[in-house]
Amino acid sequence: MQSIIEAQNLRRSFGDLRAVDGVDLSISSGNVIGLIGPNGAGKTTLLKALLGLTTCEGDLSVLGFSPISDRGRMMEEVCFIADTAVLPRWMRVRELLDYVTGTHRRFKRDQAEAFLATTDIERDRRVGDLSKGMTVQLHLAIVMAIDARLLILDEPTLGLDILFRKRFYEQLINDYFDGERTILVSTHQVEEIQNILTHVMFMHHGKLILHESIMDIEERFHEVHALGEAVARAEQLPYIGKRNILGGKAFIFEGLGSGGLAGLGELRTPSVSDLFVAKVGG
Amino acid sequence: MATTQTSQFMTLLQREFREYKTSLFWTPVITAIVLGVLMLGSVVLANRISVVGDTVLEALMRKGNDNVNITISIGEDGEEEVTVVETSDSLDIPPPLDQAAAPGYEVYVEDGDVDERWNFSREWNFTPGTDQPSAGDESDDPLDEMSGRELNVMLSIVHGILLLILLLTTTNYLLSSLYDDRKDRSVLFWRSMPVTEWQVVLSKFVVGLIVAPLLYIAISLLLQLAYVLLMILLVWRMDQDPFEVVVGNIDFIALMLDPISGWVMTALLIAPVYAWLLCASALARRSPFLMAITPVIGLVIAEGIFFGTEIVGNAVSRHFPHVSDSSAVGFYLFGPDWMALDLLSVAAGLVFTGIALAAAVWLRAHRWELN
Repeated sequence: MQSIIEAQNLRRSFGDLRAVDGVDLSISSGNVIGLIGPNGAGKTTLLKALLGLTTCEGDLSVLGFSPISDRGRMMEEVCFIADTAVLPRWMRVRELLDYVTGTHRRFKRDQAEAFLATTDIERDRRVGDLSKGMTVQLHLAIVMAIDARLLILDEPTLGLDILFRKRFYEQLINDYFDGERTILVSTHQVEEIQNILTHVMFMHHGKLILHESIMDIEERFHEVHALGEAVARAEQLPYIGKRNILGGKAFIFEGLGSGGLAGLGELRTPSVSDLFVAKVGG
Repeated sequence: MATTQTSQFMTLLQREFREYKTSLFWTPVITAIVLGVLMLGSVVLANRISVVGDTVLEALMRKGNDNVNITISIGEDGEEEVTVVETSDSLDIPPPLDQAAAPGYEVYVEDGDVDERWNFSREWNFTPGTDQPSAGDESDDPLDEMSGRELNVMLSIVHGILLLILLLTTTNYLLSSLYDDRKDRSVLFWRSMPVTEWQVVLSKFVVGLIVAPLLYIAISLLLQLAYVLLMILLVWRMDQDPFEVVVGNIDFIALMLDPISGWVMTALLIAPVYAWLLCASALARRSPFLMAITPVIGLVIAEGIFFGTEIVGNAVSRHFPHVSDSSAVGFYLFGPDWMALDLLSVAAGLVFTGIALAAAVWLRAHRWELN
C-alpha cells in the first residue's frame, strides 16, 4: 500500500476561528475513508487544503505533491466533487465531455459515454436544464471515467433523494473502487455509507478526534443494550456514551474487552453515527 | 508534454468561445447583418432614398477640397435624380467633359447667382475625377492621402463600428471571465481539472487580445466585401462603370492589412488595460466593473490632490481606447502610425501587463471564494 496523504500539524485559521487545528494525517491507498463531523467542524477546510484550494500551515503532501505549488500535476491523479451544483450550467453535456477530454489525459470518454447511456441524460441538454440528481450522475460519470488515484467527495449527495443517494454510492463502490484507489468522502448521511467504509475520521472543532479502521473500531468499541436492572450495573463502568432505548439504555464502551461486558445485555458494534455522538457529545 | 499543454490551451480557448459565443460571434455577425441590410436597402431604394449612396458618391468625389459639396436629391417628378455640385472656387474641379461623352455632367461654380445654385431641374450623371492632386494642395486632411482609395474611408467607418462593439464586448467579457464562475461556484469544477491558473488566465487574456479581434476583423472584412459588391450594384444601377468607379477607388491591400496592423498596435497599447480588467475580475467580490474603475479614479484624484501631478491619468490616456482631436488609441482605421508609437510607454505597459496577470493568477489561486 502506498502513502497517499501525509500531513503533520496542519493548521488553518479564519481570524480567531481555528478551522483546522493541528491535524496529523496518514492515509494509504486502497481505502474508503469517511470524514465525519458536525457543521463547522473544519471538514471542508481540511478537504480544500488537501486539494490545494486553500493554503494551510504545516506539512502536507498529497500523492507526493505539494497541493499548492504542484497543483497542476497533482490534479492529474486527484478528482473531487465539491458539492452537487458546481458543473457549469451554461454548458451542454457534449461540450462538457469535450472539455474534460481536452484537458484531462487520464479521462476515458468512452467510459463516461457508456455510463451516461444507462441514464436519461441527453448529450445536447444544457447542464442547467438537468435535475439535481442528473447533474450529480453526470459529474459521477466524468469522475468515474478518470483514472485517478485519489477521489475526494465533499457532501456529494447533499439534497438528493434516497434513491439517487443509494445508487450513487453503489456505483462508486461497484464500478469505480478497485481496491487500489482511495476515496475520501465527507457526508452527514453516515448511515448510508458506513457499510462501504474501511476507515472513519471524526473531526470536531478543527481537530481529528478519531482516525481508525472499521476493524479496529469493532475491536475497540462495544455497545451494550442494557435492560432493567442491568442499566445500573452498566453505569458503574467507564462508558463514553449512552442513550435511551426501549426498556433500557445503550452504552458505548471504549477499550473494555467484550468479556468484561458479558451479562450486561446484548453486545454489538456501535454504528458510526452513534459512536460519533458518543465521542463528541458523550 | 508540450503537445498536451498546447492541446489543453486550445481546449481552454474553445471553452471560452463556447461560453461567450454570443458576444464573441453572434454580436458581430448580427451587427454585420444589420449594417449589410441597411446598405442593401439603400441600394434597392437608391432612386428614392440614397443615404448610403450619397456617402459613396461623396467619398468618391472627395479630393481634399472641403469647399466642394455634393447634393443628391429627388427630382420634382419623383423619378429623376438630381445632383448639384457646389464649389466656392474653381480649384480642382474636373473640367466639364465633352458633352458628347457625358451630356449630363455639369459643374456649378458659386458666383452669386442664387437662382442658378438652386436650379434642381438639371439631370446629373457622375463621372469620377482624375486622381491627380491639386497643385499646391498642402492640407493636413488625411483624406488628401486617400487618392485612389476613397472608398476605403467609407469602409473604414464600417470597421470602426465593429471595432467599437469589439471593445465594449471584450471589456464585458474580461470583467466577467474570472468572476462569474466564482459567483455560480462552477470554479470548483474548473479547478478540479489538471489545468494551472496561469493557463486559465492566459487563455482569457489571449481570447480578449487576439482571438476576439481576429473574429471581429474577419467579420468586418466580409462585411466590407459585401459593401463593395453592393456599391458595385449601386453604381451599376446608376449606369456607371462599377469597375472604374468602385474598384478603382479601393485599395484592397490596405483594406485587408490596415485592420490587422491597426490591431497589432492597439493590442500593444491596450494590453495593460485588458490585464487590469482580468485582475479586477479576479479580485471583485461584488462588482468587477466598480473594482476596475474605482481604484483608477481614486488614484488619479489622490495624485492630483497630494502631488498636483497627472502621471496616472496620462498613463491611462496613453493606453485606454479613445478618439479625440489630439489623440487616439485603438481606432487606427487607416493603419497605425508606427513612428508615433511611444516605445517607453509600450514597454511600461507590458511590464504592468505582466504584473496584473500575475496578480490575477495569484488571486485566482488564493482568493477565489466570494465569501
